[in-house]
Amino acid sequence: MRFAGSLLSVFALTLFAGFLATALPDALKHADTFLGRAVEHSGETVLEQRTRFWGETFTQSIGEIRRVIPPDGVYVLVNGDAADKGAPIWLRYELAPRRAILVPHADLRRPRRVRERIPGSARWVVVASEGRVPKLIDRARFLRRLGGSD
Amino acid sequence: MNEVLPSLGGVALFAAAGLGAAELFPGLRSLPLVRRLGYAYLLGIALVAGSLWALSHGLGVPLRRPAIWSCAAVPALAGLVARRLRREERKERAARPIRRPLWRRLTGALVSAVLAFVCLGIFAEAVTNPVGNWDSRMIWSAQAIYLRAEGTVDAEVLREWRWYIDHPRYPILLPLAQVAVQEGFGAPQDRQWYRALYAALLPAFLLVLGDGARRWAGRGPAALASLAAVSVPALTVWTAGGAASAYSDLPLACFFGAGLVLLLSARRSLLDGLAAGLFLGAAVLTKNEGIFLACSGLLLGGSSLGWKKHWRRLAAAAVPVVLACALFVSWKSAIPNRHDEKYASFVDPGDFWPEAVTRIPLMAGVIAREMFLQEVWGYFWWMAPAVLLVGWRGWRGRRRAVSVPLLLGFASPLVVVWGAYTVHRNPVFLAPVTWNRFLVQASLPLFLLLSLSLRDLLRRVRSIRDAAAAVWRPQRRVLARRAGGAPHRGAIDLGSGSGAGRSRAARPCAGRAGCGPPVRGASAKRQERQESGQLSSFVHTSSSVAGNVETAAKNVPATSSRASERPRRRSHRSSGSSPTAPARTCRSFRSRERGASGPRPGG
Repeated sequence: MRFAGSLLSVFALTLFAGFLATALPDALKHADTFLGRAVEHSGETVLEQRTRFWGETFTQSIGEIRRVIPPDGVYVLVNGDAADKGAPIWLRYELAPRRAILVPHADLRRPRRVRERIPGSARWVVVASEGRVPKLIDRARFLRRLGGSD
Repeated sequence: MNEVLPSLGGVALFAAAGLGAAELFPGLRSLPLVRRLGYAYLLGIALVAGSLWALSHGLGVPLRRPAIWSCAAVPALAGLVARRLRREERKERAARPIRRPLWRRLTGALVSAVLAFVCLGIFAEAVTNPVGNWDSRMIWSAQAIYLRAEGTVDAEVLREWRWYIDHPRYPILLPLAQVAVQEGFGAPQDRQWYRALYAALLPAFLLVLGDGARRWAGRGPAALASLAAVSVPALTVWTAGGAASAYSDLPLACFFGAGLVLLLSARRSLLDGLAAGLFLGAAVLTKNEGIFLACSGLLLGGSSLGWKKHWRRLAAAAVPVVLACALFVSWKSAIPNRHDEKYASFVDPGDFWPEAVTRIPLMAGVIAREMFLQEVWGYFWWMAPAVLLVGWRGWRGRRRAVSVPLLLGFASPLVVVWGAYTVHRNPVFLAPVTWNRFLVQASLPLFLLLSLSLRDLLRRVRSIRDAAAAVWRPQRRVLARRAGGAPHRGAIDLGSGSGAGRSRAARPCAGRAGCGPPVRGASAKRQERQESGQLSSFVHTSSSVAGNVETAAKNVPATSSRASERPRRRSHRSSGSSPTAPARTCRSFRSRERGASGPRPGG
């Protein structure tokens, strides 16, 4: 019985050693990669960093919207995807601390309801879609396109 | 590299505040600096962000530089003053460093280097890339940006229902810590210096784990458990809860684990209870489930220590938890809930029974799939159950007082999430986005249990090796005699210094009928050394030093730590027979000298 227990101990320790043997090199490799990238991208400006990470088009588009809407401004955030893929969440983060009023995609079929929800202070509308560049629209233009009644 | 200095500054802000505050708590200040740092960092986050929350909500203090630096400076200065007042006492109590064998020091240095390299890698990632993961951008970092912009925790964007914000009633301790870093160092929004705050949680986790594991399992198992922890992607590079993300699961794991370790350690100081309570209170303010974990931490501490005997300490621990709950409830009561999981609509408490049992077959497969995801756990769950089960003997005896609460502490987050699965209309959808994160929350007790099991396994494997040696060496001696040669030195080494410290199990023939005395065949030279008192074991077993604790402490072996373990083990088994009395006195003296608490490794 004691012998079996000892064998089990050896087996368990072998498993542990096997785990370390497989996982620890991976962890070290990750760390090495991260350190290498840190050295490679040292001295980057914020814009260069964001362009590298998010892509040039997206970064430029966000920059343009930020220039138009002041940091304490209010905007309407329209979900352009019928199936919610979270595009408004990502866009809201990029545009924070500007305050957003969300218009879900389903509400676009009910223009009256949307009109009621948009306050007068919200002068801009931003349309977010997965995989597309965010689009900045003037409020009046958006309401025109939205139509008049439910 | 532009990010490195301010990012380090953000980490130092919390570490300095925490190091200062740690001076006020005996259980923390008595730890060596490196082991103290993990607790100090967490304590710094808890104190700076927690006091910012209380000041902003209670007194309307704006979340600006003066408040942030004051919140960090007050505990740091308090610690400096306390340290200065105690300096004379500290000089008297300065402990002699205990020298370990060279190979142990080298191994320790190698393990530390590996751990540091992985932590450095995570830090490098944090200063190279912007935060790019889901919940960080959806909840925690978005909240931080809004709070910073408005300069108050009672921001309009949270309190007015029309503004689009996800989970507005989630606790904001970590967003406030982000605000402290960003505002304290004047960061532009796209400079995410707060990311290092999360990266530094990995070393904090490892230091707390190392401290707890060394208290209860010893250096070797602590090192192995730390290596295992750093090898698990879920704690490091996983972007949905690890240190490379900005999620609140790893912080919650740290706060809950640190509170539990402090509460279970053997010191009986009221202030240490308060320190444990500060960690558990921070858990309350970190995530919604933190309330359950904090309460379970208090319950486990109480049941482990004894309610009657330690009620003051437990009451001291409960005070910050109650205050944190009051602050959280007061803050969130003014916030209308929206864009949140509609718990009320999908939760039906009536479903709790028998769903808690009947859903096991349905959920087991989903949970198993999550646990065996390579990018999250690697092969960890192929290994951990076997090690934990086979090494269960490491949880027995004196360690039962910590192993049972640790086991229940590991189970606590899983019970919470299982409760959610039980009442959720679609638990198969919920499990993939929650299970692994709750495992992360439970990971500190888990790795502490792993270290206890590893301790047992290592001892048992060592006993096999020694048993084999015990059989083999006399055979070699007999063979040598038959061959007419002199007995090999190794043949008479059964009871010499290298084996002197091993337990009875490690020397199966020791003291048994028919096997002869344990030091059979000791050479004359060795006997001379024994008589002259140079052998370490002699220090412990000789009655001549029984009355002189100071002398015994000086004679504690400089190199043979294993040898010094032998009387300790015996002392536990023999319940204080006279030869072991000096050993116990000596050990307790050394424990006081080092300020260590709790059961010692090797006991």
